[in-house]
Amino acid sequence: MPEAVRRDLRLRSGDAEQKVSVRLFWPVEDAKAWDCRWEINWPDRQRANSGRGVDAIQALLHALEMIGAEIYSSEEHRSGRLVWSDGWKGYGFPVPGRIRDLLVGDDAKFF
Amino acid sequence: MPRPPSAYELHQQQRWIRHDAHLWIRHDAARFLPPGADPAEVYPHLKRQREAEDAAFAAKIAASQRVLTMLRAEVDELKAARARQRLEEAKYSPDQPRIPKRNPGGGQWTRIGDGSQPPSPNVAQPMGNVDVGDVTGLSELDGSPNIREGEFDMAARRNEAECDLQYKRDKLICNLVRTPLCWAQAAERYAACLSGRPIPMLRF
Repeated sequence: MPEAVRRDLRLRSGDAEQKVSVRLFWPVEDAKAWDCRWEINWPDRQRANSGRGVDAIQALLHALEMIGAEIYSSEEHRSGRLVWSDGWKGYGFPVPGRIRDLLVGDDAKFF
Repeated sequence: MPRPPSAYELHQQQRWIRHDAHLWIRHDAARFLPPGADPAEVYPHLKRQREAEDAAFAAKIAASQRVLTMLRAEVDELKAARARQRLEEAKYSPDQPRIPKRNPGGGQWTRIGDGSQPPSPNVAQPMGNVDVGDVTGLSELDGSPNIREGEFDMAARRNEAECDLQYKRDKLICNLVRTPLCWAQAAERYAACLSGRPIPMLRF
């Protein structure tokens, strides 16, 4: 399955930085729904799942929200060592409405 | 004994009866037939209709059975995953040492290195603890106010596994329901589970 998009976050550990890659795959249709697979490669583990929906756009949106939920629920986020870009406070991923209060910085402003 | 209609009578029927007269056959048409007569013999359309209804009903039953089979397979898979997870979390370990028989308390579980007495050479050593050395210098643990040694604990991993399982169950339901609302709620429930929030009901 081809990788559609990718975003690299950075995990700061003292002076060093480790890469946390977020990979999103193209939505594909199976017998029952559209499935949009995603992966987050943390330094110590990999998390993978898929957003699903009645069409490709809903599957894609849910995949993005699930990635956001994963990141905002992670210990790495809570430790304050995870960053995306120097020009953006947050990670640039939406989250489902129920945990929108967890958003920080520019994420809270724009999502 | 009813006699078959003559050619003249059939002709008159064709002449005066609408081409779609079968649509207006009363549900209690049998009341107007001689006793013992089968309405399906008199009105062939009723027979075809009944056959079509039987076929549709059979198809519906077959579809339900396919769904049930699929559900059973999915539930079996979930049960197996849950059993594996329980096995991993189980406290029982066959490697945990026991007091040798013919000793006081023989056969009982025992601990090693609790400071009360040196371990007996007859007692098997557990395999669970692996010395990983001094971890205080690891860069992973530097400068983080919220993360301390050992805090990358199993509770978080277990929570992730439970949320994965919950999402899998929700997928099972939404695959059957096939509404956008169901998928949206499944994603919401997944996020609520991961973040430790109250998990809303799956309504669709």
